[in-house]
This record gives sequence, C-alpha cells and structure tokens, in this order.
Amino acid sequence: MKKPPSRPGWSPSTLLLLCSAAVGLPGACHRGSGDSHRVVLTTTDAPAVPAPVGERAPRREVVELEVREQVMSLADGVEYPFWTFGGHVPGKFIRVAQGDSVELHLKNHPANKLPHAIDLHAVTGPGGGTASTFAAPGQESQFTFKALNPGLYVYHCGTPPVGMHVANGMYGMILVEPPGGLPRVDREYYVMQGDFYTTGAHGQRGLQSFDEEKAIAEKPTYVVFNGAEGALLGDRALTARVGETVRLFVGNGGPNLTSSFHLIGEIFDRVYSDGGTTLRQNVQTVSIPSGGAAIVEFKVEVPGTYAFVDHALFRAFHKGAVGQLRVEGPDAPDIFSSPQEPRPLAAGAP
Amino acid sequence: MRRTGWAALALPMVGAVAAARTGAALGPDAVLVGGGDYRSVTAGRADPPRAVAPFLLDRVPVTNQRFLAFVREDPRWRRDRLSRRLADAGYLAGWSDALAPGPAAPPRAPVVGVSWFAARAYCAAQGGRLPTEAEWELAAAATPSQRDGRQDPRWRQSILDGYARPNPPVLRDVGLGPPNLWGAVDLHGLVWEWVADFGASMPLGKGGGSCGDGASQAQDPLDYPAFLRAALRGSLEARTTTPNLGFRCAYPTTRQARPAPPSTVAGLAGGSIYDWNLRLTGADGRPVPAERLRGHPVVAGMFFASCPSVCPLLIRDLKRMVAALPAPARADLRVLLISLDPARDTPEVLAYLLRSHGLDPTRWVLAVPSDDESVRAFATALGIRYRATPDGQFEHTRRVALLDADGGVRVQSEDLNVVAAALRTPPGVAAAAQ
Repeated sequence: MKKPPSRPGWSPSTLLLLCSAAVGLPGACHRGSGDSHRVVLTTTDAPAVPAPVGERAPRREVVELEVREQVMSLADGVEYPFWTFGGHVPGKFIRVAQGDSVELHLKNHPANKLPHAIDLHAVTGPGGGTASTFAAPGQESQFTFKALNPGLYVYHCGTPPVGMHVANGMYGMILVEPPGGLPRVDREYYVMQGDFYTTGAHGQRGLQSFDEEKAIAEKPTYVVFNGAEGALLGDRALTARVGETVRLFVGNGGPNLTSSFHLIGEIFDRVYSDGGTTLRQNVQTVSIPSGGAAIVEFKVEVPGTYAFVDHALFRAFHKGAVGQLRVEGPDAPDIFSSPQEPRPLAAGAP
Repeated sequence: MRRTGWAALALPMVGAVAAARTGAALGPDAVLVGGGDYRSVTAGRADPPRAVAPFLLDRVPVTNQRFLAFVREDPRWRRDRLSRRLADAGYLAGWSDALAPGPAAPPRAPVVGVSWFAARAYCAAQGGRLPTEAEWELAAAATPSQRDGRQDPRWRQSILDGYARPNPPVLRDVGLGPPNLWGAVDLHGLVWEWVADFGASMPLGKGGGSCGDGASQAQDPLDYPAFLRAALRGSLEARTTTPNLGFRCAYPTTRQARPAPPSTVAGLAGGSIYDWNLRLTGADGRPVPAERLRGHPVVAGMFFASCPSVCPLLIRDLKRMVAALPAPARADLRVLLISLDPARDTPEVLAYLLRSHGLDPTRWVLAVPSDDESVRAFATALGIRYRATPDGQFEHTRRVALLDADGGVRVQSEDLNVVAAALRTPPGVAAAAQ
C-alpha cells in the first residue's frame, strides 16, 4: 500500500548520520525499539563506499535518500544546477546483500522545484520503483523490493524527461553482495562517469544551464568522474599503498556516452564485467555502457601517480574525463625502472 | 497579419475588464487570451487537438497580499483553521503568521504553499475559476511576439533554465517579467501554477503507462518544458502544497463585475464532499440527496458505463469486498459510484447497470454529475486521475476513496484490501495510527 503523503512526518534531518554515530555500529543501526529487524543503512558519498556486508543472513533494511536540487561546481569557475540523490553526484552508494528486503524512502526536499522518482536496476518489478517513488517537492514516498540478483547496479531518476534528470546528475549505484560477500581487498572506491550538457562551451565560467539541443545531439561539453572536473585529481586523488589490492566500483550514469574505462599504467587483474558475476582476468580497458557498471580489481606494485581516463581520449583531455590514483611505497625497479636521463642517439646510427 | 490582429483585439478587452473591475472585489487585472487548438504534450499522436475558447486570465500570479485579503474575508482558509483534508502541512507555511505573510513572503510576491482546494476557492471568490491545463498551456505558449513559441529552441531553453534553477528562499515580486503576446506576465520563470484539471496529467509511470510510453507517444518529444510541467502535475494531489506552486485565475469573457454567489464558494472549507453544491443525478433521474450518504461510511469510486474492462472489474471487486464485511458494517456501508461520462451515462444507463450487476439500490448509489467540470471536481476531491481519450473512452486511475460519516476523505487507495481494512477500523484509531 502507498500511504498518503504526510508532511508532518517529513524531516530533513540526517537520520542516518545521527543513527550510526549514536549507536556506533559500522554500516547500520536499528531504528526504533519495536522492530528489531528493521535496520537503517548507512550510505556514502563518492568516492567512499560503505563497509562490506560480509557473511550474514538476509534481513529487512531501510534506505533513506533525499533529492536535492542545488548549484554546485562542475569545473573551475563553472557552476551548474545539479539534481542529486543526497547532495552529491553521483548519488549515495547503497550496499546490501542478496536476499535482503529493502524499504527505500525517497524524500523530495521541499525547496526543490521538480517531482522526482528512483529506478534502481537492482529491482525486479515494473518500472524499477519509479511509479512507487514518484514524489512532488516536499513529499516522501517509499517502496520495498527484494534484492534477488547479486551485482553492481546503477540507479537513476525515472521522472520524465528522464534524460534531462539523468543529465543533471541524478544517478548513483547500489551493490548487492552475493552470499558470503566479495573477497576481501585493501581499498574500495566509488567512481562514476557522467556526461553534461551546458549552454556555454567547455570552460565558460559562471552559472550554466542544461542545453537540450546538445543533449539530444549527444554532444557533451563535459565528461567527468564523480560529478565535477577534477573531482579525483591532485589532493582529491584516490590513494593506495604498494602491495595493496584496490577494488573500484565503476559506474556510468551517462546519459549518452559509453565509457572506455582505462587506468594508465595498470592492468585490471579481475573484472566483474557489466557489474555482474562473470569474472574476466587481465583486462586493459573496460567498456561501461550508460546505465551500466563494472567492478575492477588490481594489485598495485609500483609507486607513483596513475591517471584513469575514458580512453575515448578527447573526452579525457578536452572534457574532463580524467582522475588519479596515487600509490605510495617503495620503488619496485624489477617491475618498472625509474625514469633515466635521456641521451642523444649514438653518432652514425643507421 | 494574424498576430497583430490578436494583439489589437487584446488591448481594448483589457481596458474593458479593468473598467469593469472598478469598485468590485475582484482579482487583479486580467488579459484576454485568444482561443485556439491545443494538444497536450502527453497526448497520443493520433489525438485530435482540443479547441479552446477565448478566456480571460489574471495578468500575474495571485500575490501574498491578495491571498491575505481573501483569508481575512473568509477565515476558514486561515492556515491555523483549515482542515488537513484540504491542504497538507505546507499550507502557507512560508508566512510568519496566519494573518501576516512576513518577510519571507513579500506582499507583491506570488503566494505559494497553496493547495488546489484553496486556489479553487480563491478564484471562485473572485468570480473566476482555475484555468484548465489547455487554457494555461495555450496562454503560456505565447512569447512576447508570437502566439506559439514552442518550436523555438531559444524560447524553450529560456524556460528550461528557469525550471532547472533551485527555488530561491524569497520569491521576487510578480509583474517584472516581459509580457507575452496576450499581456500575461510571469507564466514562466517564477512559480509553477495550479490548473483546474491537473488530474488529467496522468502520473507518468503510475496509473497510465510508463515514462517511456509518455515519451514515445508524445506530440512533441522536444518540448521539455511541457514535459516537466506534466510531470509536476502528475505528482500532485489536490491537498499538496509546495514552496514553488502558486496559481492565477481565469474568467469567462462575459465576466460580470460581481463576485460569485457565496453558495458556489463556501462549500469546500469544511472538507466535506457533501458541501460542494455539485449536483448528482441518480438512477431514478432525480438529484441524489446528501442524506442518502451522510452519516454512513461511504466507499466512493468513479466509472463510466461503456468501460470495457476496468470498471466492470471494479464493481465486481467492490461487491466481493462488501460481501466479506461483517454484517453490521455491511448494513451501514454505502457505495457511491460516480460517472465520468455525463454525456452518455443517463439515469436509464445507471438503472440498467444496477439491475445487471444485481446491486441493492439502497446501498449502492450510481450517480452522474451535471457537467464535465463537476466530474473533474469530484474526481480531484477523491484523488482520481483521468483523461478523455479520442475514442470516447476514459483513462483513469483505479483509486477508491473511503469517506467518513460527514463526507471527508479518510483513505484513498488503489488497493481494496486497504479500504476494507480501514472499514474494519474505527476512524479514531486509524487517525491516531497515521
């Protein structure tokens, strides 16, 4: 049943944060005293991901997402009116176990202008949740689904025009862990690509708007990781230490482009293609369609700064699709020699 | 040229309306909007356009100042007195006080946080009504120089820009935007506006088709501003308020310089459907007296007699639900089924339906409103969305409302099990649980 919308119950408070802080449980806490089986999940902003689910029985969980429409930085000096699940692009990362029943609450903040909804690709059922979660500004909606299939799934807004909602940043990911969880690794990160269509040219400063014509022509002015040019560069780069195994949950919100995700100077040891359960090994570039995802894992052996890009390279160098992973630790000259002084070719060489 | 012709026609009428207003408690000045053909952005490609007659429309959205005057005049619409049935908790929530808009709601800024019920009552008090979706869209399609700018990408883009910007904490004054061809101002770029038949925008993905269907069947899939408006209307209930949803009123071109009689305005304020002064005709050809329903719990739904599938199933399911009730509850219950189709559902048709479904006419009230506008009013109050389709059918949501003894909507649901459960629970208990 769908409860009639009730404003008195609406509260912008970040219950999740209060809850996990007060109880001190990693990842979750119990909500109320009456129903000990309902657990409010902690969700995270990229590039962080929630703690692994690990080994446990399926349970009933509550996920709370709040839609915020807000102006944020898309690039240096460039502002854009983003529509978000939780105040950031990409939206909150949700982590559950196969077999869990997830009660998803979608709050549409009263200061928003537009109705929104959520379609999670992890849902089995018509519309993926869109119809049940369609909510006017200031309203809260909810629905419950059972996570039948393990994998890494994209979610996005399902309100028409869907392309525009997605182009403004309304996407995120939900991980459904298989029984027993994923193998342990040292680092996990959340990276999501998206294409943006501003009325001004790439780099034009000031407040920009969504450009309908460019979106329909599929000619983005920005292609970025985690919602902004430079979101994962410099002091915001991902980090790891030599010898560690890194797992990236990589998604592509699109709405238009397919990503050729590539980490320069590394080889993905293991890739769960398309975010599913097929394991491929020793992969150089992963194709991630719009509305798709992949889990990539690799051990870092050599220190240094690694760039990851959409290997459709003009996106990387002219539209923002580049991020960095900084690896610290001892050199490994047997694997990779340090740069050496260039010297002139020997005279008389052929 | 056609456009100069329309503009020339508009000006003297504005003058006439302004003159007629002098001394009367009417709304702000209105402009004449020439009629024309309108196709909803969510209508099917095969749907014929709808003809819209010329009408008068408020030049600007209703302001805090004017709404305050209305609330002073009719204190039942004060935010501290209005029934929650008629507006959610956001009703006039931006005001400092029930009779003081305060700094966050400047006098000349548009009033927002107003439900459909409240907007409708305000317009009725001015001798007007809310514009229909077709009227509003027709008026809003005009640019400063053209009747219809919707094919102009730059015009569309300028509207989109406004929709995509977050809501400012304090809205600016009305009247500062450029007048369009009809002289109307701020149809875009300031606030959303209620329309009388917002329930004709099917919630895309809910009730009627998925969002993908909407886009694939649309008249003009490029008209993103219209899609955004349709989606917003689809998300609303009659009691919904938001901090960016206001309204303006429409009037017939034969508008008289006097307010409507109180009887057509008053009704709503208590939240009882029986106070609407909307006439229902029963299967016996006579008006249905409210006494047949008042004092009983009433399960109310809507149907049309030529409906091929959903409506017969609704009647069947309602019969089963009633049969499963305990005897005392069954004896007390009334079922009210209101026709969506006044043109064809005559009393004879209703009587035939009663007989053919074997319905007890003391407990089952089949009735038809007097006109399409009354149908829309009943449907909106009951939370039922519908629209007429070109083949003479109606697309409608299958929602059913449970009314309490004095005609207030207690429960609305597509699921009869929910209604049945509520029927087994005394109203006080249900209210406490919600």
